[in-house]
Amino acid sequence: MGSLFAGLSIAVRAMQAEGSAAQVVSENIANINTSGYSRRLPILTEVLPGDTAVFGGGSGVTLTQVQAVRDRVLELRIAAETQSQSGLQGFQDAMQPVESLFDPSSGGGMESSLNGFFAALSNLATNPSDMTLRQNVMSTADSLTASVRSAVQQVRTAQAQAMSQAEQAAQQASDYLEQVANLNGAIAAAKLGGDSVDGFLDQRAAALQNLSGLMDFAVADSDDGITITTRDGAALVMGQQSFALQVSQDGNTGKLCVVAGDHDVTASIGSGKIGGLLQARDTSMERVITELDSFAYEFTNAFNAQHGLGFALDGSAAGDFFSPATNQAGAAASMSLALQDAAGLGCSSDQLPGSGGNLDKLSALAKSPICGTDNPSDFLAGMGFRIGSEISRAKVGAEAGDVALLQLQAQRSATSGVSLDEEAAQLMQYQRAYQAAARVFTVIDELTQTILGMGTQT
Amino acid sequence: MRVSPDYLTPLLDALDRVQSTQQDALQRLGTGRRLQRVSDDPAACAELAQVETQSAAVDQFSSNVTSLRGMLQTSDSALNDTVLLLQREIVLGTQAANGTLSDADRSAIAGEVSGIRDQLLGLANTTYQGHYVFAGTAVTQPAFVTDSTGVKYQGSKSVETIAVSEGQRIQLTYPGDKIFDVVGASVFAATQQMLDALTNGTGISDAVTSVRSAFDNVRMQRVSLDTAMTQLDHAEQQLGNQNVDLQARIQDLAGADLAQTMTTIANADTARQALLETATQINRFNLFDFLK
Repeated sequence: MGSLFAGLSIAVRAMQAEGSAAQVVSENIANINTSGYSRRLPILTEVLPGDTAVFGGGSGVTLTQVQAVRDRVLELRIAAETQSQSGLQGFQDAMQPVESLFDPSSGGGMESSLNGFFAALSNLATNPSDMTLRQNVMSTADSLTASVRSAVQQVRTAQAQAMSQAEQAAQQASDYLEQVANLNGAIAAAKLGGDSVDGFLDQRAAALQNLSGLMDFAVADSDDGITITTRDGAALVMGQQSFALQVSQDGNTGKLCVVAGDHDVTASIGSGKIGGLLQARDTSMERVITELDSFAYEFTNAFNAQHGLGFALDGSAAGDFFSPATNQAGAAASMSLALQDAAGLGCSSDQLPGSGGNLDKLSALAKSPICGTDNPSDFLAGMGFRIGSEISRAKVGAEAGDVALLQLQAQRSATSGVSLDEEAAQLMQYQRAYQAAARVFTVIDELTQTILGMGTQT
Repeated sequence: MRVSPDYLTPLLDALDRVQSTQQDALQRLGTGRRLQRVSDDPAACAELAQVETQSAAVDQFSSNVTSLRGMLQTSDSALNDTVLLLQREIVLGTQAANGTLSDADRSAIAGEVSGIRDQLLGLANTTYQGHYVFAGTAVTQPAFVTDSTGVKYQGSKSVETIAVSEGQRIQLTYPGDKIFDVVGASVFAATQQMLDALTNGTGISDAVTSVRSAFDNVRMQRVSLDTAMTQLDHAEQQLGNQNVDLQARIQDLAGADLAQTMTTIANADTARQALLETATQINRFNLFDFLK
């Protein structure tokens, strides 16, 4: 046989539970703009019949759990997509100054300097003894060497920029790794104390999301929180310990090294901003430098060889036109004119000033395969094509990644995002339930009053 | 199914996209070029570089044709004058061969022929922009000098050619010995013979014959100069055609399609307006507005 007092306690319990549920709603509304926040669901459970059982029924309701709604698989997919997308973006941004060397609309590029040089040679052929035309050949040759040197300089500057960006990104990544390690600790402590860990989990997910913009990594659950490793398994976070990333330059190869703790993890960073920067700096830009060196080396030597067969204006054997390149490495950076006096230009094939026989052969180099299997102009066009295709591929990939990422984020938001309509409805629902419980309390209270009033005179 | 309550992110993203499309199109419109960066179309850019190289070569050939024509015209008019002078010499010689002339008349004719000889030497040493056109490749010194034995050729015998377009070459140097100093048909030897004959009063007819063969030789040599000029005209025409083709190809590869670009801009603008309109219309209310 139940008692009125049992009814009172059920009503009180209901008011407590509905009030707490409304509190959860207000938490959700408060965090509507918090990034990484997962909406919380109050889980209300019927209190099972026990000692306080009232005629076989339950003992009311209680808020047993506040559940955060999140989809870990979805979050990992977002992380993976972010990694590849930001890798492509990082590559594209870093390559921009290199791409501008081959801009189709620019007039001062290497290609047009080369055309100008050969045009000056062709012009000189109409009157090989003319000093003005000879001088013109010298000055166009000078601007050709200047444009090659400045191209090397521009790529080197881009490499330095990429390196400092990689250093900054590594610093950021180290911060995020440290955050994750700290959160691992906080979560373990909260679990021991029986407190809610959802807030920490949200923060940890946000840190991972940020980290995935910088590098690729693997996540595994372990007894003491999550473990983060590189794709190859080198530890980045173990429990509450994190390993900071250090970027340095290899003294021999000039390439970048990324070290986590004691491990060289360079090879296992394939995407994220750091991955994109590494690829741009150490693969693509390095290749451009090598190609420029090869161009300068082969062009200089082929031109000098033919030039040396000719005779200067005074009939003496012509010397070197460009400063001779002995090593291929560094040839582009040091490309310059050896000849100072335009009269020394070796145009003549018969030692007489009016002859342009050798000049004709020098002009023909424009169409000869002196740079590997290409003529000089095609070689430069080929370089531009390779750079352009790489960047274009990255662009297309990044755009596709953008769309995919947007969809994934919409999915995440559909699962975990806070909707005001929904919260409004729930707030209403809990308010009504609270009002009803309060009403029940009042009614029982009145009944109790009636009982208490029994036997007294009215 | 629960839908994403965040409508702003996709909206902003769409606005971003529309704006970047519009900016690209505006840039194309501003520069008149479709290709702004190599990555826009790497293959087209590589071809463009090759076509521009060809175009630069054609441009240079065209400007070469102009300066070569000047040189050839100067040479040609020198030969024309030479022919006229030799003709005059033949007329004078034929007159002098007439036995009725007095010594004084012959002497007057000899004076004119002597003047002609000096003029011929001047023509043989014609210069164009400071170089001697009939000196072969030894262009810095006069082709012919006078010494004790008469007029002597001191230029070179090198005949050189120059490319005037892809695969077409014309003769650039015209060594004077072939024109003025051929054995048996030498302009200067014949003139000297004429002078001597006039002074002595004998052998004038033989001298006229010599001058005539020198005259024939110069006319014959002039043909090769005229051939070069004709070739130059052909080359110029060919270069003009090539230039038109190359410019058309460059326009094809790099030029912006104006109509298409304008349409893109207009479309992007419409889309942008619609998006902004939508942004102000949707989600103006939520359930809270209706709960009292």
